[in-house]
Amino acid sequence: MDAVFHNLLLGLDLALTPTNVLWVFIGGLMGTVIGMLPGLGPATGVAILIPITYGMNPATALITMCAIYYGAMFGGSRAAIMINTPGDASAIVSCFDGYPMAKSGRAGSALAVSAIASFVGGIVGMICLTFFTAPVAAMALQFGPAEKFSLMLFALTATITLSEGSVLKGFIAMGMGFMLSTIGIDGQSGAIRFTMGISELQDGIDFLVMMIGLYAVAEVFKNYKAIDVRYDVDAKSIGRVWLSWAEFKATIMPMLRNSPLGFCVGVLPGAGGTIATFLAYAVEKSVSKKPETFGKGAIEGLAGPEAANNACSCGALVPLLTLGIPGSGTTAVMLGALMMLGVRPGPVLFEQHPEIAWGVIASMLVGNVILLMINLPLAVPLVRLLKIPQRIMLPLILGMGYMGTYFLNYSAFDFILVSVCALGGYMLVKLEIPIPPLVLALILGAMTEQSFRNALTIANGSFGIFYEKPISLAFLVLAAVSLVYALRKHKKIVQMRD
Amino acid sequence: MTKNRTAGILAVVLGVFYLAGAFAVPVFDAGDQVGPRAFPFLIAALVIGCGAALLVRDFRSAERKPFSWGFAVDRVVWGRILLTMAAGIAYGLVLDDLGYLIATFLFMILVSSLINVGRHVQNLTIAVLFSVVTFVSFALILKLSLPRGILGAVLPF
Repeated sequence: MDAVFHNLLLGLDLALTPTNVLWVFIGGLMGTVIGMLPGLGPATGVAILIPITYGMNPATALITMCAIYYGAMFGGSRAAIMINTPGDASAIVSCFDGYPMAKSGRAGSALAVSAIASFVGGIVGMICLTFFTAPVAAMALQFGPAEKFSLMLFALTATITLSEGSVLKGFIAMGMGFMLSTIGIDGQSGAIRFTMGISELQDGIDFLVMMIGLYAVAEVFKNYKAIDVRYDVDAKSIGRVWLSWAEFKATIMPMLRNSPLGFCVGVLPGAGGTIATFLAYAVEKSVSKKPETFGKGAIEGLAGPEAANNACSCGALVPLLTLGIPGSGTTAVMLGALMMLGVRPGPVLFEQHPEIAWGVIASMLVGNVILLMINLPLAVPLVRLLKIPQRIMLPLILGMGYMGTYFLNYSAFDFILVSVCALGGYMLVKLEIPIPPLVLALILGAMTEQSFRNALTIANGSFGIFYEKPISLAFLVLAAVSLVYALRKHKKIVQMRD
Repeated sequence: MTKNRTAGILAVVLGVFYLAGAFAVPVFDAGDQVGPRAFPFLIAALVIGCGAALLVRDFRSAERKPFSWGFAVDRVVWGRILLTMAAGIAYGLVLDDLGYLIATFLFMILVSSLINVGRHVQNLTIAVLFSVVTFVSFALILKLSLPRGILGAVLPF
């Protein structure tokens, strides 16, 4: 217990420097705005804002990116409440009761409860994170190559099996990510692989270029179809953004009980905000004395999922910080940006740079307070931003994306790469091949291959090493279990359709 | 051609090409004993296997909804995509010579005219503001080095 407080104080020391507080504010505000805009989620937000982290020290960069991430969680439900259009997938649930509330003249309460629930979720999530990370990181320090390989295999499998859509297509996406990760000079033997004679590819594909292509430029391509959409937002009718005592009493329990739930879902790779929010909604509906009001403007139906969503984003930081393994598109982009700054999150980070790891965790305390202060009084002006038409937003996102690409390596070749990746990403979306497994495999590819080869070298070429070591075996079993779960779920859906 | 069949064929073709590439990887005696080919072989097998499974499942299922890329129906969307890509690639090629300000201005005016059709004043404003604001924030405040290009001699800072 003492150690936890000691670490937290160490972190607060770093989190409370003026520079870091300023960047938490800027990152949180930008995240809120981007998360709010329909069609743009946290992954796009982090991807197009990567350039602002250049020149920062790694701790400030990570703090800023985290602020963008949970800022987007605060913003995501704005559009859901006001115009019935979720800002990203994890805000879908907020449409169920948020929009009916706004329509019946309770938009002020809806916006207030969304901000307060996000705050409660963020704080509870941050507390869970404080207690969770140190033991996980300590355990992960003991991992050898075999354990690492099996862990990554489990993380990737879970990303595929826990998300929506076809398992086969998920594995195809993962394979494509691995393929891209093997392009360039092989780190262990020096052999040049799959460069197709293009000398620029010898250093491999820069995954940040890929991610800007997939999450910023391809997002714009997707929106080309609905370029003329305009949203009517009646900002005048919102009224006071505040909760009555009765509303507060009705929502505090849903917030508190769904935050730990959301956090646990977030820890699992692949199971992101969408699952957390739907689960929280189901929980609230089942414990409610008036379940018939759900879907018609029940304030608990908005409070629970909002809290779960933000807590979930804290949970997603556990595998990223302690194992160096991202479980979602957004955390993958964050990992990519950090690696460029020369920081590799993982157990070693907690040992060698505890101030960075704990600084980030402590900054979430600061960040959530700041975001509550932004989101309550400024709710009305922020909502007005929804009126900015797509035709103006899309060129700006393209500009940020291409400009960010240039800053990575100052290379003209990257402009070709980013354009081609965006086209590829757009085509994959059309074929319903999921992007996150591809991105995760791309970023983990080199490490996966390295641990695979190291493990086999240690074991003299025997595959037994992967199932004879108990921890490695446990991860493989977990991967298999998640696969069986997904296949059974799939069978059920097919049966229901018949 | 259904969506799954298209995806399956794509995966198998990609996997076969990748496998051919893996056979072309040189093997040295140096380095680890597993070598640079083993992992690519596994990946190729995974992608070809999943692609084939997707095809088999598709042939067995009753799903017959044809998939289309929409090249004809969404002509405008595809046109915009290709023009955006062309503008992006051109941006990269001229950036160093023209300098950040001019190249970014040109890129922004091109893509906003492509998206925000016909509103020239708005587009001009977006392009000027975007290039100037980003130049000031990144080159002057964050101190990143950006190419000054042909404007280099006249820029006051």
